[in-house]
Amino acid sequence: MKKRILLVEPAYKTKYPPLGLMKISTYHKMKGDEVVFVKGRNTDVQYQYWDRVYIGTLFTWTWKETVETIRFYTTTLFNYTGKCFVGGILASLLPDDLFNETGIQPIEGLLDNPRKIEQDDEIIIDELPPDYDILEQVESNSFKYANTDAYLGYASRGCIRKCEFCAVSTFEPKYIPYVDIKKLVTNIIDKSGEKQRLILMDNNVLASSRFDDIIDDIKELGFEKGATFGPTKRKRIVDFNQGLDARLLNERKMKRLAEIPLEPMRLAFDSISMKKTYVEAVRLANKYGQKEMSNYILYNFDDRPDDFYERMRINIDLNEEFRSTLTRTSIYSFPMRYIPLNAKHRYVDTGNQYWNNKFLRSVQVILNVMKGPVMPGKQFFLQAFGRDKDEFEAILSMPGEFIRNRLVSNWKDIDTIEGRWMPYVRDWMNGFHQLSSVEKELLVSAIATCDHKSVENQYVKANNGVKRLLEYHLEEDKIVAAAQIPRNE
Amino acid sequence: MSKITFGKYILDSLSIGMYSDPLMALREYIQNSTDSIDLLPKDTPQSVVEITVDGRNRSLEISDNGVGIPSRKVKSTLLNIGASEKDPINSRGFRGIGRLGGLGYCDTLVFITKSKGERTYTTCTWESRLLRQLINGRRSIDTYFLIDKATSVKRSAYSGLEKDHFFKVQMLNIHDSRNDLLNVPAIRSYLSQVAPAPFYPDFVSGKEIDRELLKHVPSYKNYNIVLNKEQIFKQYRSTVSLCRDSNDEIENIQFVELRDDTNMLAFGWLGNLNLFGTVNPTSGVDGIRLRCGNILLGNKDTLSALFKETRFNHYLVGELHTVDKRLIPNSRRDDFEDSAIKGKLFSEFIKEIGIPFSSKIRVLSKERGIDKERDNMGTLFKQASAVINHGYLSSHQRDRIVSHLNNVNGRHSAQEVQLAKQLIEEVSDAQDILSTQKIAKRTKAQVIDVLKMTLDILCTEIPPSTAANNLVSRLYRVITEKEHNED
Repeated sequence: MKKRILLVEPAYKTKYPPLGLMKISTYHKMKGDEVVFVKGRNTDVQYQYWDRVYIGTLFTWTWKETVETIRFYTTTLFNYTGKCFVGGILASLLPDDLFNETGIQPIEGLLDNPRKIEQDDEIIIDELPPDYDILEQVESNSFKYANTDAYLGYASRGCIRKCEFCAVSTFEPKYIPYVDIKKLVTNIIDKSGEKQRLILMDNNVLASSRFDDIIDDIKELGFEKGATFGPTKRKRIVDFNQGLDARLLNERKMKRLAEIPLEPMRLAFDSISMKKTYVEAVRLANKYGQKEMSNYILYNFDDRPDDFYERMRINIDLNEEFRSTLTRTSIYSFPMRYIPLNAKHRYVDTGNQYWNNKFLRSVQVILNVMKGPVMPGKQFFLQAFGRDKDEFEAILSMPGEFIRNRLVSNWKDIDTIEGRWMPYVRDWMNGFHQLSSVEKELLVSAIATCDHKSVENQYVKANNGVKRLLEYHLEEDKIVAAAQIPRNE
Repeated sequence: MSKITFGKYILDSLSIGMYSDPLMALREYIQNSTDSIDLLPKDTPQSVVEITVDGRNRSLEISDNGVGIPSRKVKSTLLNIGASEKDPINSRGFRGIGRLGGLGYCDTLVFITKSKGERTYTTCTWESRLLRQLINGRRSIDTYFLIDKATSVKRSAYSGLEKDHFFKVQMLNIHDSRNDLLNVPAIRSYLSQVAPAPFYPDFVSGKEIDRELLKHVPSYKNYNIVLNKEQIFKQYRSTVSLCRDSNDEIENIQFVELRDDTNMLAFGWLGNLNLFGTVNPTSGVDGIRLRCGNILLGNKDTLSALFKETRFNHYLVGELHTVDKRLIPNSRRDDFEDSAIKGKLFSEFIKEIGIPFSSKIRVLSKERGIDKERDNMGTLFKQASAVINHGYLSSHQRDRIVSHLNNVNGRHSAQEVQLAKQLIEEVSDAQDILSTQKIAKRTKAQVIDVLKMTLDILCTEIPPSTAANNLVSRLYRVITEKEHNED
């Protein structure tokens, strides 16, 4: 009998379409069932009958919204929890918590076994092509996915590393060096037509013993460097969006990567101890004509603010260096704040003693201005993050409103960075640089928690130098507002 | 006289067919645990009933550190049916059938117990799957044969301390149609309403209620019941959530005694709410609930029939605890056994609570109706004069106001009818707010600003729903398309 299947992705923001749910959709449509896909808690589907509800989950810090979504749909199912299937990353990382909170025993890991969702057949859902059609249902409901004009898939699964900050070893413990993407892409073309881009979510493709076969497959699918697509001649693009392992990049592999239109090529620069390996890998990419690079910079893990600055600075300096090369490679830095794998909200203490709440917020304020990535331009970087580690430290400690409103309105007409600062920023910098290291520690301990009370408490005890800077923190709104009023009014 | 047969369906009726809700089986086991804890010497430290639900293995365990059962008594206690040695006056259970409650919902039901001073523990296993097969089979068999076939008792050496004592119930390979026995939040909600759990420590009135109940209700006692490591509390809090997205506060507690000529039959408490509306049913505290030995009797509606309309009970929050020992719960625990004393209790309830509160709620609700009508009239006249003075936003709005004004009739005062008549004319002559000359003077950017603000207002003011979101997106598209076309 034809069943009514509801697929749900909780209402968090995502760039990538929910691949797992798309595969489940393919499976149920194969069986002749009716499939509906919704985003979040949808009151329209609440008054309909459903044979099964599948809920995908993603980051653990979406815990609250995810749990509320599951509760919403178990109520929709009249509490027949056996009809509700919850899977995905969060479900695999926090299965017991989810069970205690929602009454549903989640499905852990991949859908690689038909028993996991009580199938009456032997179809491996993980191997099915994703159903792109369901994305349109959601898009008409005022939510839009990016990256839909792309074949989404994997040419390998799992990772050979077991990095503490990464969930892959839990989620996909077995490394599989080769998955046939030709089959996948052919299936997608049959079902949903051709796509411009190829997004491969491989976690460590450079570790694959069949790396050459994978590159051959990609080329065979028409993704050769310079290839175009469709009547409008749009560029073909390949993206290994989870990044490549710099430690495994060598001349031979880079040569092969250069045969496909990687846009961008992504590397990770997780620790300053990898500096040498990382820089070599980037130079290699430049040598083989890689134009765009977009590199992940992990922070708040076991790093320090000064080496975080240094890692971004290395990219800026490399950009400068590459300007005189033939390729003119440009590297965008993507700072990624570490959030522990079991964190149920975004701001949890990671135990890193060098970072604190205030510093993390300050970085966020700087990044917000740039909307995410750190641009390759040197002047821009120096202005945003400071000209050296000390200036970066001074910016991190600055009141949030100062960071947000650092520059005078006509800054573009002024040459020096100091000249562009608002007067209160100049005062702050002077005051900060006059502090001894002990005084700096006092200042940081007062502002670390981003709590007004703590600043007030320290203020009473502090000496004059620290007191002046703490005053800025207590009065930031007033100071900034007063300086914003144009003189002629 | 020929031998009388006790057929297989007796066991079926007492176990699988006994309860309508699988969670009731848990209630029976917790009742046994608390009875067993009561038998401990007074100075015993920290007694606890621990429930562990394991979703992966589809199993559940209820474990207590009450007195346990000595090994020589295990067979008679756990295999006999309807022959409990418990004292019906001081125990919550006494019929000797409650432990069968789990048979219908798992493949194997295991009891493991040890009493103080023994070096062994005893395991009593009921193969409930086999049992059900035998009952559903064609063969006619008697209860004795059935139990003999499906059960086993085994004694084993105990490696822990000799002074340990416990009783554990394990339900293995659970299957109930809704998965309720594996649904931790559902179990938590059920137990917080049914089990003899304490009030939340932060429920301000809890201490006062405890004090009074201990004074008047001899069987009143709280137990430390833990579900997957989290303690169970009754869900009463000072703030009570009502159905229509509003709250009420319990500031005072009213205590009630229900008596016959000589004895106190029951003692209870009520939170003094303002009776604005019914209490949210998902809060787990709506209605006056009847408890016996601090365990819920029946469900939250057991006393609802004693109000003029059953819904009136849902305006209230409180508990009624039985005091008189002659009030005996029936074997399903959904009511008392029928008796004159039960009749007396219920009549007293009607007299003291049922009727007084029914009439109070009705009067208040009528008054609110009148107030509302008055408010509505006020709002209507205000809207009408706004349209007259500033113009209408859409013709739909104008027509709606006119039609409402047309409805002002004999029910209202002569003055109101007169005013309505006059307003109808003026509203009908009113102008479109956007057609006035003012709007023409605005620049395109200003108009776009206004539209943007409109969207902002819509997004923040309308309740989130797909329909509302669709509306906003549609408006947005209309505006942006317009903007693009003009560029």
